[in-house]
Amino acid sequence: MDIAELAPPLVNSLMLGSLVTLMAVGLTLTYAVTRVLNIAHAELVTLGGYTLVLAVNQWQWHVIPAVLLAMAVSAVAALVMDELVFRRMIERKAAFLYILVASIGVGIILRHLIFIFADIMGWLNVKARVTINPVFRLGYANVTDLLLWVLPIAIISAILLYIFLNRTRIGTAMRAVADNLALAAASGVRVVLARRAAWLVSGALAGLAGALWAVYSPINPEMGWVTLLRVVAASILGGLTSIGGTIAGGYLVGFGENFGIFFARDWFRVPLEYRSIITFLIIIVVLLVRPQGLTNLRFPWQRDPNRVTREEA
Amino acid sequence: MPWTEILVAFVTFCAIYYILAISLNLEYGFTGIPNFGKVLFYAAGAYTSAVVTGHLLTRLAGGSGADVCTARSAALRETFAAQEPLAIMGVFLLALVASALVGALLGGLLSLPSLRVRDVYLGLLLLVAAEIGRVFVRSTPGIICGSHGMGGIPNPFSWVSPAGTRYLVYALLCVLVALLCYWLVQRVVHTPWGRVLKMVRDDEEAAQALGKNPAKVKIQVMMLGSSLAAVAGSLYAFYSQFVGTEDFVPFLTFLVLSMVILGGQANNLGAIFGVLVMTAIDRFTRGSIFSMLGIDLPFDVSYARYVVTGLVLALLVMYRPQGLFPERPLRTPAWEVWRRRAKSRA
Amino acid sequence: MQSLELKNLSKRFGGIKAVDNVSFKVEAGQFVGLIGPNGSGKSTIFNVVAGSFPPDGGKVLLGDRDITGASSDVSFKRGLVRSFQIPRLFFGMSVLENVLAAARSQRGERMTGTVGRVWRDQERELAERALELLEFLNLGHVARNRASDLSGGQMKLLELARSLMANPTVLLLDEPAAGVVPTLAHEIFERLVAYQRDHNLTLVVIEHRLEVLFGAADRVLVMNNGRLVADGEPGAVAKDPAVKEAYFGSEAVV
Repeated sequence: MDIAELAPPLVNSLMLGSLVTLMAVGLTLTYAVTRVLNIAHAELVTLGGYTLVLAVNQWQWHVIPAVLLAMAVSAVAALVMDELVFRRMIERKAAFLYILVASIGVGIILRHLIFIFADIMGWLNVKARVTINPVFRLGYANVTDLLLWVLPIAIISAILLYIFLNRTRIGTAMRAVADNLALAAASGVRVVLARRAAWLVSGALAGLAGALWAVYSPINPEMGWVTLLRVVAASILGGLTSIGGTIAGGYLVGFGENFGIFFARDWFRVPLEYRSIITFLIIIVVLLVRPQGLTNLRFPWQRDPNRVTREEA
Repeated sequence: MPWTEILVAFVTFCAIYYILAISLNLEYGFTGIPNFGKVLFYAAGAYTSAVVTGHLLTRLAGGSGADVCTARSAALRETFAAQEPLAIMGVFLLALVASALVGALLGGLLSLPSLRVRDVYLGLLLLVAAEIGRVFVRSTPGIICGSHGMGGIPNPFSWVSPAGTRYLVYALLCVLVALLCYWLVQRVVHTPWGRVLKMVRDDEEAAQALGKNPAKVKIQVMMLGSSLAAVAGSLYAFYSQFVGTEDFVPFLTFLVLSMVILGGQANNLGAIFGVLVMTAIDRFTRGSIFSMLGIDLPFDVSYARYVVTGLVLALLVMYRPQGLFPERPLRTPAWEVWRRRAKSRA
Repeated sequence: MQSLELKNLSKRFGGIKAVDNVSFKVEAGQFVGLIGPNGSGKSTIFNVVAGSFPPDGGKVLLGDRDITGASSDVSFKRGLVRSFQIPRLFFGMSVLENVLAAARSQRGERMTGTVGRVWRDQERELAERALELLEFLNLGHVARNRASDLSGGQMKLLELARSLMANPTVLLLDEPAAGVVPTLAHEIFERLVAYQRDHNLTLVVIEHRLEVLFGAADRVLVMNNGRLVADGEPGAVAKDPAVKEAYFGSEAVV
């Protein structure tokens, strides 16, 4: 095999991995802080994508303010979602399963509202009018300026999130709530504030991912939903509550899909369409191996304060 | 499309969805298995019927089993079915039975994760399993015609004309099968076996401490539930006369879930209400009906239908997760004894 | 009628020895009280004996049969029944159904057994017995209510009724009278003793209300920090200095 053949899957893996990571980090954050496994996170991504298209294609905005707008819109949508649905349910001590189903319902609503909007605008399949230029060639692949943006954005977002969680007061509050809600509330942590911050950050990251996606490839109102299972795979690879694990999970999904299908095609002539099955299998294997594999909101090098305290007498 | 046709279609779908609803209620409402992969078993029934029809009926009609996907082959089956009542009805019955068996097998297989994974994670796992099945079929031309789907699954009453009467008869048949499924499920559920299901749902560990075997009943329930779902899928295949992967998306599972929750957890009679309401939303918000009424929307009205369904689902789990109709005690002879003793004391 | 014997039983959680090398034998038909401060390992003993989780060492014998590490449904079939400290009822079901649920070898519990009429006759017999038990425990009037609608004390009584419905030969009760008003607690124990004598039941009861327990039990075992620290007749145990230390002095001594 020519080593240059490996370049296209490498480039695709970095792109997909970065986008999935941006989405999954938000999913993990809201799960860890508020115990909502938010299936409608997919629609926050789609919302970001369409906001960018609206700003760039319709209003002729420059791409950078358009991305910021997309982040803001998704962040607000995430907050509204939580205030209208999830926080009320949690305060009434609704079962975890019901909250999940509610988020599925919210996702269905939002997705089809976007459908209606896209249908009216004639944007059922649309690409943002932003040109992507190849910067240099790597083997058989072009490395584009978009990738050179997306990769650092993903990494910088992760670093900023780390700083936010560890060096700011709201961030520390969020980690405290994630570790032990009752203890945090009892020690005067402002739980509601931490909760809102988590949803805003989560939504903003989803909006960012969606906006970048719209620049990367044509989008449709189902884009978030279609990619959701990848995001879920990344999150549960990270135990649903570890940010570092989620980042690793995101890139693992990106590389797993692209290289998995690359080799499967090379060796067994497996058609390209099977690539999403790789992600699905990751989810099933992780769930079967670690049915309750939940840790707390930490980066991997941080100690879990709740570890050795399990006691039954 | 005249109103009678719309009504007949409504009745047919109510019957098919009702079978799906009691099958999900059995798993989710009675046993606490959140089978978010329900659509997989529905699809399994539809595809089994397609395979049986494709291969058996085509050969009976004198065609070759090698190219069942072509339009020519489909046309051959349809003309043949219109002339040979016995052949098509025989094939239909066989397909129905085969679907039930395949459903039970697949359900048994996919009940195994439920022995290890629980609650939300199990729901997620089954949802993903259903998506694997769909993507696999869609991407594999060799299997049941792949992404193109397979047409030419003739209505078992193809020999009845006019078409209006044919669909009416088929709708009545679907209702009959639904009633049969209802009778069967009520019969096995209003028993000590049904009690074990509810024990497993409410507290699996306590059920085990009282000598029950949760693993065993979970496997049984998934087999029975999946078998019923496959029967519904078979009825659907012969109704739409076509199967394709786009009919079996996760949304359908959640449509059925909203019917079950609307009707009430573990309440199969209440489920009738849930099915009527949700099927009405599903069937009466089609573009054709709106254009018949002279309403012209600037977008595809189907989207609005999904919005309403999502709204119902979200509001239900927010405010009435146990459903509109309450769960009732299982009807076993124990209550006769209770009533008699209460009377003699009074 | 069976005895229950623990031989060098141990169970650790992380670094904590919840049960530390405990041995005792409860003779068939004996009423034994198991006491000790919170966290002394009483409930863990129940959990290990009944098969909720396997021990790290030692043996559990039911009669002369080794049931060490057997899962809880297997132990149940051998005649060993346990109740839970916090009632673990089937909250979506009615009170009567909760009791019926505990009956053993029901024909209609097998899917194939639901065909035909035989299970119906059995169900009627079981219902008679279940309702008698409910009346025996003052729950007859709420038989058709949902278990989740009961008061805390009624839930404890229902859990007791459920345990008795299972016709145990060896019964482990975890605080059967916790959260019940004192007069009712005495009544529960009186009825329990009556039932135990009638059925020659081997009974182990965890209870914090010592005045209630000491009046009913034949023998009392005392646990502290996972170990057995006293064993004897209620009168003798009450005077044992080790017991006083377990309850009041452990922190001061260490």
